[in-house]
Amino acid sequence: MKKSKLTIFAMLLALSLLVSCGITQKQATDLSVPVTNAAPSTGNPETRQDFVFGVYNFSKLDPADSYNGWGTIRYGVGETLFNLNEHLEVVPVLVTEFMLSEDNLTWTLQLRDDVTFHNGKPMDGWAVKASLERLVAKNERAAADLKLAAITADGFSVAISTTQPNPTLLNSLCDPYACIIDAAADDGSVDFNLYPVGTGPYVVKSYVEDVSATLEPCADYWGGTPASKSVTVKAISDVDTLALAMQNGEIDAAYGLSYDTLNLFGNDEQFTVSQAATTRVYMLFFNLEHEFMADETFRRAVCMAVDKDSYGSVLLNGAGTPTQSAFPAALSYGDDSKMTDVPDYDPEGARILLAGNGYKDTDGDGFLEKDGKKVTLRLVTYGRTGLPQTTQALQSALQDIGIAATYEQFESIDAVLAAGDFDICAYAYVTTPTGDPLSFLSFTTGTGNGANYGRYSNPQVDQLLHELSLEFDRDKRAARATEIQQIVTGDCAYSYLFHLNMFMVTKKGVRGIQQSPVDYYQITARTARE
Amino acid sequence: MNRRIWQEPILRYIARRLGSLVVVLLGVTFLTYGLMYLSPSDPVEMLLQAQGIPVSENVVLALKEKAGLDRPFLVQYASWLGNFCRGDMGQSLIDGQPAAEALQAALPKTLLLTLTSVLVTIVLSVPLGILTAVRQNRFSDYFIRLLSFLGHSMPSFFVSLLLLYVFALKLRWLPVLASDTARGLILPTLALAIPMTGKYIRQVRAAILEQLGQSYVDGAISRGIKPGAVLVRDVLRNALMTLITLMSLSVGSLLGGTAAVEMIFVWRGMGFLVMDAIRMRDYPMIQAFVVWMALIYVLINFLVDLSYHLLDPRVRQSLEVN
Repeated sequence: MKKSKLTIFAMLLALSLLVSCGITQKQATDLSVPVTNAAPSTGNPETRQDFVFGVYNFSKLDPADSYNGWGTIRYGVGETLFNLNEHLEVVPVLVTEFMLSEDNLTWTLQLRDDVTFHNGKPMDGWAVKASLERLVAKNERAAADLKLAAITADGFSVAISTTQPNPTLLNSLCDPYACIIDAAADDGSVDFNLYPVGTGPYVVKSYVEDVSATLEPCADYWGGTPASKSVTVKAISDVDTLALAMQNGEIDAAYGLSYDTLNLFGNDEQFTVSQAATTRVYMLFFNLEHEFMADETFRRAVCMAVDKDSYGSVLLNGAGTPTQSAFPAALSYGDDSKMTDVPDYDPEGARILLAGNGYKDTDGDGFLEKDGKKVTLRLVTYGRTGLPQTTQALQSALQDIGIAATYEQFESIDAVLAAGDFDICAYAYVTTPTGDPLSFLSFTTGTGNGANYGRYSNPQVDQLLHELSLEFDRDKRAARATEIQQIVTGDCAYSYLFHLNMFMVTKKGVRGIQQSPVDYYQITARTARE
Repeated sequence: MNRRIWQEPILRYIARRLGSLVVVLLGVTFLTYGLMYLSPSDPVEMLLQAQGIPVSENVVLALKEKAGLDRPFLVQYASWLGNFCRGDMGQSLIDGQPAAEALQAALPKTLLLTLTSVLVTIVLSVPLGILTAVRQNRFSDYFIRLLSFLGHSMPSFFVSLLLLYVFALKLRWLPVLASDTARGLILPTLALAIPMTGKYIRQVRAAILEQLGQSYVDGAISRGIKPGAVLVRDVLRNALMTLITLMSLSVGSLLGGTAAVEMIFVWRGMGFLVMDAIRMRDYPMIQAFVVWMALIYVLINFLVDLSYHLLDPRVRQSLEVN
């Protein structure tokens, strides 16, 4: 009874607030490496059952279209040539061997010869070539990432040449957009965005836009017999309804639940909650062109006011892992212990630091002035879960050390950031969507780059970014990425607060599906309920 | 002869209404497009922000160019208008779905939910409203008014969650997810009908009481006509005009979709469609919705006027004189 009351109370309360792995070795691969969705399945066609998956974000399925590839991979319809493992390292899936040419311009991939598309056609070199060529013709992001010059196919081999040395090509081939589909099947006879022909364990049987997708097992799946009789993915775009459906036993797994429900499901033996620290980092942009924020000492004091531990544990109900790095600790370039110059939480030290640098409360109003001018900061953010709360907590923390701060929340923040109309912005970025640090570090810390909203500029960082863009050696890439973060955090140009732990709830007895650090691996051939 | 006199003003009236519809459509679509253009974000920015993965400026520009968002406002609007005049309402900038198709898919669900919720509202509120008026200041009047006050004061999303909690989670009589079945219609219908019933009981009561205070009621009763007959034949008929006007506004609003209820019950109607479109700044989808809403309100106003014409001889006479 008490639990019931708590449940409804929690529900109503919520309502009321209406990795790179630049593969450096020119090597043959070891297929014994456990990869996310390619381990053989042992589904028994006689006993397997239907599986229902409730999701908050439901997407269409043509991988080349926008970010729809996330759905193609998540629902087990498609697969990429390579996957990312739990350390976000590139591991082969549809490939047996891969080699890089001496000039670093051509990757030669030997494909598995037992993979077929859902329509029975073999996934050979020509099919892979056609799939990737279709991708770059349709998807601007992919074209920019892959930098393709030419693709040549021969039997079950494909050679991918790039216009310039591209150390992150294999990482980009892990991006859901690079899901391999039978491009010849996109002949206009069916809506390919609803009925793509991939190589995954499940085939789309019916798709009702914005409502559900019903999938049936692929009889000839190369990875074994899919373990479920069918999979139904249901779009449930209200988090409370999603939670109620899970509680009511109408779905077998739920993804996209509100963090308020973590305890509700975590304390109930009927359910299993799996969590994983993802590469989505909650961070602070500092506008280095604005008065006060341009002062490194002042920024250091601001960083000292931030209680990262509390933000992750309290504001996100334990779903935030505090960090000093832009990348999760599981990655070789996400080691917090190497970020030696990141200020610790020390509000008293911040007050002393500010006082020692001429920030004094001269008019007795409780807030600091510098050279007779009141210190006031403009804090901005947008509506993603946890960001408004984080910014409000920061506002309070700043006021606690004597810095007056205003808080504004925008529906779309990019225009405000591009205009430089802020002092501090709380933002959430996926830092390594395909397991490589270059893209995020370059866009946010490179001089003049698009997401460098704080206008940070450091020639040493720019030089390291240039070297990173050409480096194929994994260890050296990690070292450079670490060094860049050391410089950036040492300059107090950014503050990385915490990594978001995504979570998934499943019924007891459900297997083969859990929250992965890589947010797009969900339904696999092994997903089933007892 | 009489028939011609009756028909001609009506035809002229319809023609005038159709003419005004064109002006209304041009006005609201231009205004909506203008407001969307002035908003500090566009579909590309919203999509990228939602994904939270930094991309290069060149990619952003290419995406905007592909969506036609790099063109001046008037060019974008003129392009949309030109396509609309040729019967093409455009495609979603988010998932490429034709806007007309999306409307067609959502419309039956919205019409069904509107119909059932209005029927339940009428069935509950008219008898209870009459009862409270006839039994004014007695226990049944106070009790029903208290319930109607509670029903009216609870927002539909709150009612929705209460219904789900009680009937789906606790009693297990109905499923949480059943939007494509008749059983799935029960809870969303109730979620909409309960607040509306609360409102209309009070409206019916007020309208009936107003009529009961008229001298013609006293006159009819003093002439020996039974109070029940006066109530049904005269009072209710005269109160009907007020009720039709009020109900038409509710129907217009319901046909525009009821976003909160549709989202909670996973009922893919117009409200769900437009919420998603607004959130992602999906201009063609928003425009399609705006066109639909303009059509609905013009049509409903027309039907209400027509009902006045049929129900009230004074309106009919004034139209004939004009």
